[in-house]
This record gives sequence, structure tokens and C-alpha cells, in this order.
Amino acid sequence: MEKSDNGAVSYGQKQFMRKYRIRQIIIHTSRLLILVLFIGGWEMLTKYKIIDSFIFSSPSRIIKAAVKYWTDGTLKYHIGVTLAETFICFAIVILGGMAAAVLLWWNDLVYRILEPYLVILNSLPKSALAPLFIVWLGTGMRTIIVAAISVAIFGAIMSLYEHFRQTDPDKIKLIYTLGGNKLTVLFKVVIPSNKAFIINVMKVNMGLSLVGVIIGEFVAANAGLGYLILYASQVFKLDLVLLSITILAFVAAVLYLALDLLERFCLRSR
Amino acid sequence: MGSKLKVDNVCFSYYGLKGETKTIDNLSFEADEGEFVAIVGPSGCGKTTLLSCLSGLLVPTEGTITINGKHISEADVRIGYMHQKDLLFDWRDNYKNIALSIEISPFDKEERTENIKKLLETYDLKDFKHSYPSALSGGMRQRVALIRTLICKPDFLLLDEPFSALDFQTRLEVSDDIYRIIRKEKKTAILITHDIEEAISMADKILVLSKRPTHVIETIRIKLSVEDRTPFTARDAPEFSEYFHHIYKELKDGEIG
Repeated sequence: MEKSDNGAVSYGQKQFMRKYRIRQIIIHTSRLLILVLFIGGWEMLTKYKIIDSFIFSSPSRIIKAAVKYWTDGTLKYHIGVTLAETFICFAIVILGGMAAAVLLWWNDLVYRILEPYLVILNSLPKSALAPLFIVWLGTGMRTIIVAAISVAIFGAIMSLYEHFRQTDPDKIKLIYTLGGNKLTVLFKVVIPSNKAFIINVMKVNMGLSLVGVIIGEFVAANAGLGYLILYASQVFKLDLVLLSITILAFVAAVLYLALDLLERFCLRSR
Repeated sequence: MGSKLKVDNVCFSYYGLKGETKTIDNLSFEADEGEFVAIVGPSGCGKTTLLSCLSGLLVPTEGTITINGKHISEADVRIGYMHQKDLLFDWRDNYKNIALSIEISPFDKEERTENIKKLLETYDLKDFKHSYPSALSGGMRQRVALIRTLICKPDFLLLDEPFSALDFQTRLEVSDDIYRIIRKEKKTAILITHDIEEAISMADKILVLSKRPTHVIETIRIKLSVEDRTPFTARDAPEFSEYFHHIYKELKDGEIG
């Protein structure tokens, strides 16, 4: 707590701290309450047969399913497949997106030539391409990764390029007056000054990669959480559908938090 | 070591879809070794374009620029450029901001790294070595930028209104610092400014430029009868206001004519 010069805490400061603590308590208890009410309500509604637990499942049935499918290894396998596909897609989107954005920044002529194609590819709903990928590449991991990349990469290229292009021209001039060349400008100004934005692009594309992978698994897979959701719904195992969705929510949250930590680590000096 | 600069009939044009914009028109001048030349002119007349040509960032459409008799692209001199803004990078601490110029042109790296420490002490910035530019005042930031320029031991300094963003008091202090360094090391310096008083207080010679396309209207030698001349004491010289009125009139006529 901040103390004034004579060591005593002033009345105003005490009031402020009290208000702050009350606010924090309200926030945390409300969050918990929403979760408890949602899960408890769901359980009660199904227990007293107000809604059908065969269609809507229930928290207790989901937990039972979780134990069953975890012990027989089903969950581990499908989570592993989805994660692997997501990471491969994410890595290719980020590395490829950076490389392409740097190329476009480096050579304006290339950008001018490719601009209309990039705009069209970026605005095209990529799920429309999925059937095409299946015909060309068959079903399986390769198709899913290609489909997921197509969802994310054009947006990544366009937004990275836009930010690279907007780098402060005076800072670029500084590098040239210090005797640098275009490569120095890239590594000393363009990339470092856009560090926060690059991490932001990573956050967005981690999410998009997961979206792309799940879409891909819906149409062209025999493994992964997306496949599991689709398969289970077709054979009316709603416990498994909801279990998979819950796991997916956790996976998404963990991936986001991981990038959030990376962001704090990279930007801690400011 | 100073350098002798010769600008000979330089022309520069920007080309655009709406046509050619002639910015510099047959501009010639010389700066001797260790000479401090100030360039004043109406705003938008192409002063910064001229400085970009002198630093080699832009190539004149016509004419030549030589240093010690050699074309600037081949001359073996280091050019220091002080920008209008301090251009410190907020992702680097002050020390690393200065080290940027060593990273980019790494001659005698060790000696210069040693120099950073000395210069930080000279400018009372030692305690701020590892803090970030955002923690510094405008004057301190411009001093860090000055060290970044000086650490490369330039033979030849180009100053693009480096004081214009500072408040009046800091401006006097920083221009005093820069003036002393340039005099002590006998460097050749070209200062661009729109501030007539600043030009008179620092320069040996002032070039008055016309509006665009710009050329030299008049070259004025500044001789002030003060002992121990600094930008500060120069303002007390009896000739000061005479020069001021003369240049002011010259600029005014240039704008109309």
C-alpha cells in the first residue's frame, strides 16, 4: 500500500482501497456464480426431466464420458491430432505470412502486381474451397492443414504488410543516414517497431488456425476433435459431443494464454 | 579533421504524374574545413531536400557535390546527420539507442563503445543509461540523439533544424553544447533552420535561399565583435540586430519576388 510521507495512510487512500477491494470481490464472486448457476441449473433441469438428458446431456454425464474416453485413450488421441494440426498450420501461417509480408514490403512492384489477387483471396470464404481440397488431396491430415492455412494466411499477410508499410518514415531515414541499407531497416526498425503487432497477429491466427482445423476435420478427417464432434452427433452420443466442445474451449483458452505469456515476456521492457 | 564541401550548380526535381516539381535550381556554395554554414529560407523551399542531397540520400538531377575534391558517393568521410526529431526507439534503452549507430557501421567498435560511457558522463546522462527514452525530457532526448550522431566521429555534420522541437531554454543549452563540440573538433557543419537568430548566433556564414525552386540569393559572412563567442554571447554582439534585419528583409523580399 502506498504510504504518505509521515508513514500514516490517509483517509482518502483508505477509502480508495476499500472501494477497490469491494469491486474485486464483486467481480470474482459473480464470475464464479455464473459458472455454478449454469452447471447446477443444467444438472437440475435434466435430473428432474424438464429437459431430456439424451438430447441435452448433463454435467454429470459429461464427466462420466470424460473418465471413460480418457481411460480408453480416445480423448488423448483426438486432442493430440487436433493440436498437432493446429500447431503445424499456425507455424506455416506465421512464418509464411511474415516472409510474404516482408517480400511485399521490400518490393512495391510485387505488391502492386499481386494486390488484387490478395484482396480476392482474402475475402473469399475459404470453407468453399474445402471440397476442392478433398478432390485434389484426398482426406486426412494434409488436406486439413492446407484448408486451415487457407483460412488464416491471406489475412495475416495483408495485415502484416499494412503495418510494415506504415513504419515511421523518419525512423527509416535515420537508419539510412547512419549508413544502413534496406536489410538494416528491416531488422532494426520495421520488425522491432511492429513487435507488439506481430504478437497480436499470432494471437488472432492461433484462433483462426484452430477454426480452420475444426472445419477441415468436419469435412475430411477420421481423427481429431472436429471429427469426434461430427461423428458423435451423427450417432447421437451427445455426451461425447458436448465433452469434445468443452475440451475444445479449454484448448483454445490454453493456447491463447500461452501467447499472452509470450506477449508479456517480449514487451516486459516497456 | 574537417572537410571541404563544394556544391556546384545542383538541380533537383521530384517527378510525379502531374508533372515535374523543380525544387532546387542551380544552387552552388562552398563550405571550408571547420566552417559552420547556416542555411535559411522560406518554409517549403526545399531545404530538407538539399540536406538529403548533401547526405547522399538523394542524387541531384544535375550538378555535383564533392567533399575534399571527391564525389560524395566515393568520398571517404563520415557524415553525421542530426534530425529534426530525436527519433529514439522506444523499444531500446538509451544506451542501446546510442549503440544503434555502432551496430550499423561497425568500424573501431570497441573504442566507440568506450566512448559512449564518456559522452554519457559529459552530458549528465550516466544515471539514465539503462532507462528508456520515455523517461527523459525533450532536452535530454535530443542530447541522447546527439551522442548517437557523435559516436560515429563524423567529419562532417548536417543539422536539420535539430533544435526546433525544444523549448526555448533547452534549445539554447543544446545549441551551445553542439556549437562547442563542433568548434572544438573543427568539424564542418551545415545547419538548416528557419530561425534567423539561431543562424546568426551559430554560423560563420549564412546562405539565404529563395522560395522554390530554390537557389542562393545571398551569402553573408557573420563577423561578431564579442570575445569567446558562443551562441549565447553572440546575441549580445552589436552587429546582431543589423544582421537580423538584413536577413529578415532578404527573406521577405524573396517570398514576394
